[in-house]
Amino acid sequence: MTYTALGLSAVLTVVLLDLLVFKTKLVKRKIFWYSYSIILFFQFVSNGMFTGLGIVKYNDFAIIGVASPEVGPPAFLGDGRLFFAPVEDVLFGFALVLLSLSLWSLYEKLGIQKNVKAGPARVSWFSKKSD
Amino acid sequence: MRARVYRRWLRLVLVLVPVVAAFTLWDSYAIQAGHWYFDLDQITGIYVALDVPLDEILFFIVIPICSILTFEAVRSIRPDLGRDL
Repeated sequence: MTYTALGLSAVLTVVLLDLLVFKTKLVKRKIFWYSYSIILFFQFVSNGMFTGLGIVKYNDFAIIGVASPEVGPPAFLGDGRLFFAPVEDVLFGFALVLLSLSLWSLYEKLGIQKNVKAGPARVSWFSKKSD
Repeated sequence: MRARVYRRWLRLVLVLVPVVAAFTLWDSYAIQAGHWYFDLDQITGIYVALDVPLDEILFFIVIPICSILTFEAVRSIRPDLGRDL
């Protein structure tokens, strides 16, 4: 299977785990999408370094876009790339993040170290007024 | 930010074990199939198992921790959204 096919399968698998197996249903909740949007921004930054600096390179048969060049960075945008990284990395990252958060939430539901909760944020101006 | 994730270390470990296992297997397959490869001058050169570099294993530990810290930080800032799971 190509990276594209594996990425799509992984997203599908993890979404099904979240909805039907673990029943954590994070993909239906705002708290997940708020968190994920922050994580995705930092994924673009850090992954842009991994791929832009050529630390990790891709072969063209595995991805939608073209292969990473031997020397120098790949396309910043376009050619199947998003901030130097292949678009497939968004699928890989989403599966990694959702699986982690879904398991984390599952253990809370199961009562594992459930009673320790995040405390109130120290930066009160950051918080929404309680309603 | 009082996310209190490290205080829940057992839960964290129970997340990391299956996640690291699953993504190391994917990584191993992708490396062996030639989906991606690494610049040998820019990685540690230490291989853990199944042709997977140590650097990748660390990535599969760090990213879930970052994700959970972000999630708990957002939950603490927006308790109206983060209550019952």
